[in-house]
Amino acid sequence: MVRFLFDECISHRIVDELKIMGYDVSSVGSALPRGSKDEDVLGWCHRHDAVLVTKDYKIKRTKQYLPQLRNTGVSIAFIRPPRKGWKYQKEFQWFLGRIDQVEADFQDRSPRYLRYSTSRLAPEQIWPNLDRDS
Amino acid sequence: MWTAQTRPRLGSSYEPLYLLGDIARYASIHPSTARSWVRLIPGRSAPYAPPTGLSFLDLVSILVIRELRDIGVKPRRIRIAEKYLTERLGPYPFAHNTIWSDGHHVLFDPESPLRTEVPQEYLESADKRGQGAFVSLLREDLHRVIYNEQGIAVAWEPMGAVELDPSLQFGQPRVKGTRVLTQTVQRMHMAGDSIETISLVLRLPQRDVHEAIEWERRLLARAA
Repeated sequence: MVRFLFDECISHRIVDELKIMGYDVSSVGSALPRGSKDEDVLGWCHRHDAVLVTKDYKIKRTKQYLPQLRNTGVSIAFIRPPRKGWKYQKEFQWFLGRIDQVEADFQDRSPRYLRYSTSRLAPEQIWPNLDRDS
Repeated sequence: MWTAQTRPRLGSSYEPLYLLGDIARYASIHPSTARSWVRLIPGRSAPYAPPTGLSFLDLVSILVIRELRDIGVKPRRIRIAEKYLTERLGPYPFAHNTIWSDGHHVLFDPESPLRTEVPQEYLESADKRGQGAFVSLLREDLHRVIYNEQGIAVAWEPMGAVELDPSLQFGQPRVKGTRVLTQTVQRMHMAGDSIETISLVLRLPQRDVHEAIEWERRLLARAA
C-alpha cells in the first residue's frame, strides 16, 4: 500500500474520509505542525517513504523549482484544480473517485512527479520527462 | 535517509522560484517594467535570462526599486547606487534592510544593518558614493518585509494574513501560519463555496479567508 501525505491546501476532511476507507493517508496538519516548511514536509515524506499530494496551479512556475525538488527523491502528485474554481464537494468526490488510480500510479515507488487534471483521465508525467523537455 | 551532506537545500532566497509575470503582479507593475527593472537589480550572479526564473531576493529588490521610482529617484541614481552597494554589501544589496531614500538619493545605513525602524539621522548616500544626506519615510509595503539576523529579506507580508516565504510552498502566496495557498481559497470561493465553508474545511479564521480572497482579487485585477 502506498503511503500519502496530503498538503494543507487539501481539506483534512478528505484525508479523514480516505483514512476511514482504509487508505494510508496523513495530512500536514496531523503528521507535522501546521505551516511546516517545505524541507520538513519533504523530509517527512522521505523518512516515511510517502508520496506528497499537493496542488499545482501553474506548471510553468512549478518547473522553476523542480530542480530543487528532484534532489529530495520524494514522489509528488500535483493536483491541478479547474480554472473556473473547485467547489469543496467536487474536490471531495474527485479524490474519492481517483485515489485508487493515484495509488496504482505510484505503486512501483520510483521517484516521479505526476500531474492530475480534473479534465483528463491519465496523469501527465512532469518528471523524469522534464529532463528530455528542457 | 538524508544526511547532513545529502540533505537537499530547500527554501533558499537565492533560488529561482518566480516567473517575471508573477513578480510584476505581486509588485503591481507592468511586466515590461519588471523586465527593465530586473536589469537594475544589483549583485545578481548572472543576468536575467528566461526561462530561468527569478528568486525571492529578486522580488524584494523589485519592490525596493518600485518604491524608489515611486518617490522620484531617477534610474541613473539607482544604477550608481547599485554598483556602490554591491561593493559594500555584496549580492542583492537592495534586499537588505539598510536601504532608504529621501526621494532623490538611494541611502543606506552603514552602521546598523539590523535596523527595523526608519533611521532619522545622517546616512550615507549610495549614489554619491558615501556622501551624507537626510532621510524620509519609504512606503509601508517595505515595512512588511521580514529580515533575518543578517538584515537580509526572508519573507514578505503584502497583507495581514498573506505571506510569501521561499521556505514555504516555494514562495507562493499562502495564508500566514499555514501552507494553504491563497489561490486554493480563491478558487473554492470562485466555484461557489461560502466563506464559512472554506473556513471550516481548511481550518482558517474567516478573516484570513477574506484577506486571501482580497489578495487574489487584487492580483487578478492587476493582470487584467
